[in-house]
Amino acid sequence: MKRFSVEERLLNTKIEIYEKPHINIDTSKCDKCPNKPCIKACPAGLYTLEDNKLRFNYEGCLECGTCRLICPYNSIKWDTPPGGYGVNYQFG
Amino acid sequence: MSEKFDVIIIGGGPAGLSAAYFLSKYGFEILVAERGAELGSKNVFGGRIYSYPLDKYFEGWRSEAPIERWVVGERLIALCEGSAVNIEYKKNTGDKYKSFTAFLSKFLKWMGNLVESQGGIIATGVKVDDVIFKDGYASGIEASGDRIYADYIIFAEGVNSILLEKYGIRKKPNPEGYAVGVKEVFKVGENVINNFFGLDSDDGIASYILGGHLNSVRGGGFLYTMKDYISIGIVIHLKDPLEKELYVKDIIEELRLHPYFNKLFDKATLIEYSARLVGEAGYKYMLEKPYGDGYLVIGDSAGYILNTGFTVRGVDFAILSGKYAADTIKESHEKGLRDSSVLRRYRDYIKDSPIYRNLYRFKDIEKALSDELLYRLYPEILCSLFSKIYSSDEDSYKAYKTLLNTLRSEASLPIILYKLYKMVRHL
Repeated sequence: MKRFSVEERLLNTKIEIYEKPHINIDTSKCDKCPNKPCIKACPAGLYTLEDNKLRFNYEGCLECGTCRLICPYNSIKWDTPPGGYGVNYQFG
Repeated sequence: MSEKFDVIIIGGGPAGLSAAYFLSKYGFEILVAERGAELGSKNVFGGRIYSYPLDKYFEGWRSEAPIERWVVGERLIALCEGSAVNIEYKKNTGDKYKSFTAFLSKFLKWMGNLVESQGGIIATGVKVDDVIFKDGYASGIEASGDRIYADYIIFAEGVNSILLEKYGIRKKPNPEGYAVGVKEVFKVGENVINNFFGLDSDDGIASYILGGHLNSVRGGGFLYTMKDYISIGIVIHLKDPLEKELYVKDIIEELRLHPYFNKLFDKATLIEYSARLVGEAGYKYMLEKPYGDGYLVIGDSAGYILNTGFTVRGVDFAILSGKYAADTIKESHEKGLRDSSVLRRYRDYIKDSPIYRNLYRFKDIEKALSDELLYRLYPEILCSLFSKIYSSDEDSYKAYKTLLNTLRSEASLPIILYKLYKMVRHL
């Protein structure tokens, strides 16, 4: 059986991407955050480290809200995309 | 579209649409504002809906609703390194119709049709930016600059209650009381599903999966049989991935790729990947005051969701709370009132209902669910016990001795017995 990477899995989820991100991160706070739980907790794997800097890509967001709750430094300004945009589950 | 409605409902999930249906039926002019492109766009659940609220309030639903399969069997699957144990409870035939599997996205479209058939208006692709409060009363909504007014506002935003938090009606939740649920849906084929689970016609299975090989993740897996599809997923405490070197995105695939499922997923096609937050604090996180001047709070927004340890219930509570909200508004409207002292009646309905009864009954469930040792130990006990008593080696083993040996290798027996006692008490 084939193992699916999260990127492959996300290709199967219908998402209408809005031009601007609906989640904004104050990464200056993230530099001080030792554990960065968002990286492990995000089910879409959208938080990554690049040269020790936190990177976030909103385009595969499943709008679950996990990062909103788990961020210990309140550095995530979480919102949903504008009406009609974002994830469009067909088998939710 | 008129500028003024009797009731505006924020959110077109199972709670919002239930309220919308009953209010329309009672003759109110209602508007449902749903931010998703279509009904169900933003909704995810495991896969099972309980029938009782539908039996009670939706005549003829069985022949109309998009039911995938009726749950005739409950399966506990314990996965270990290379082996697995499954225990199946086959229900009495009389209990066949008590719950069914479904896709919430499709189920909500059906509920939406019911609302519209009663004259209710559903606006999809409409995100509510603000609620208008006039003289302290919730009196309307603002969406993309448009203002629409109503006598009553119902908050049915779901688990991420951004608006409720904005107006201080609900506090920002503490991650300790939440889990993340992740789901994959595969097109498997009706025959493959029937062969794998020993099913026929419209019979289905609900499974609870314990993954002993998953490095003591506090959480369980689920698997539901749809007609042609399988919904498989996990529900994991939010704090866990941090404490352990685990990524939420990887755990679900670890579970699914266990050899136990080989024949099921061999030729299957992945069709959707989804995720949502699941409240696990139950009673403790229920909104103390789900009403106020001009408004009511229903469904997941009010914390009406229960994880019993084996299954998560929410859609039935959502439907019930929508009905109670509609009844409360009907009574308040007859008196010509909309202040919190009359809308308070809603909480009495909740308190007299299966919602409160069940959340109260399981009020200590969080404690039972939080001991990570048990998630690892249970499957291990089951697997090693069965591997020894069904040994095909030269020697046969006695069950009792095997059990003791397994327990001893994990932790001291008194500690395990004490933990087990504590857990069983809470379940």
